[in-house]
Amino acid sequence: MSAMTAVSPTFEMTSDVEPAGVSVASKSVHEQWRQAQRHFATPVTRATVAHRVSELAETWRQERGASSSFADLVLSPSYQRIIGLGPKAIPAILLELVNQPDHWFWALHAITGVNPIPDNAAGDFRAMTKAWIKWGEEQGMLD
Amino acid sequence: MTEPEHLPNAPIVEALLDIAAVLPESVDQERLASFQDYLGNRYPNKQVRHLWSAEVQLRPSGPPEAKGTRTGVGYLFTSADGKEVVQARKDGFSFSRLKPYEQWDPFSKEARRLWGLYVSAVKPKKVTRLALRFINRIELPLPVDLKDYLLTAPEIAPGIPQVLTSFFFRVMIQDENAKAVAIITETIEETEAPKGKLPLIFDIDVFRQGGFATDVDKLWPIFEQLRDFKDRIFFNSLTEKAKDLFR
Repeated sequence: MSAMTAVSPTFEMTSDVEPAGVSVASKSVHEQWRQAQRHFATPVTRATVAHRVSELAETWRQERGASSSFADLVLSPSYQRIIGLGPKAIPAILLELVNQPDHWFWALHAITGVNPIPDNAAGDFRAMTKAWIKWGEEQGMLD
Repeated sequence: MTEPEHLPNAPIVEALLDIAAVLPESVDQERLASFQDYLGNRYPNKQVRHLWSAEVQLRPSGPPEAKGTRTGVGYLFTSADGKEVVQARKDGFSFSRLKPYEQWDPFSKEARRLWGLYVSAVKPKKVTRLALRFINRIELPLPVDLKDYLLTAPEIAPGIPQVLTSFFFRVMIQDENAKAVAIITETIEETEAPKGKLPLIFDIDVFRQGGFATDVDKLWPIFEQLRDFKDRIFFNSLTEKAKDLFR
């Protein structure tokens, strides 16, 4: 008998289809799995980028108070930390822009290096938001 | 208790000490934010902590509607080098030391100091759970027979293919002496690893539940028992070949 070995997959292993049972046993497995997932995700080292962006965005909103100075907004530590997360943070920033439109244009520009805002929309908050969301959809980063 | 062997290259990527507590009703987000004033300048970075919840509404016609909500449950404060993280939440306190973890004594001492500050800041009514969680990341050469390295591991019956491409192994065990429970989780990390290596996660979470006073001198002997339980799981679950990787 050969020993059990762990290897890298040599063919497609994952499947998006999860057979959903209706029995008590099936629900029990599902509940155990849900508990395991929740427990697994608790430590700070396992926080997803989306989760970190969301929490930092909320921190930024709290910290900025009534300040409306552009420099104050984008130089705040939480805003800078979001930029520091780099390209992997882009989908989560775009999602923030969809759910709670705010001044994420500079962060997106700083990370991506692109500026999808047409000249005639500069300064128009709604149009700028729309332009970045359109860009995100075109890049396949927003559903 | 005998002092466990010190492994100079221990595979710990996060050591976490967690205390679940019941706080007075009056403690709100603002009060938890003020915990940073107690911390001085050692933890300069602040971040809100969210609790995520989702509600799915089934409708007679049309697809189910899912609505997610997030609620602030406290704050996370990080040291300037990002290696130490303390959380002040409505449901308790956590201290994490990220890689490189050095030794128990400095980790325990800092957690103890921070718990004292948390008690001063929010005056918990009681403690309901004490936990230690050590997450190890071990790079094993591929292909690997897990049993060469792990003694607590999944087993596949003879007669079926023995080639493992993915697994998530989780058991809960209890220890009468420590009056504690351990959740042992083993899986393969999803992030990229050096070519030819299997990034194995070996996660040990030990905890004791009950009603405890907030007094640090009463809590820390329990943490010493939890630590002993955690160490017994770690050292007994690894083969000498595995331990040699960390010596």
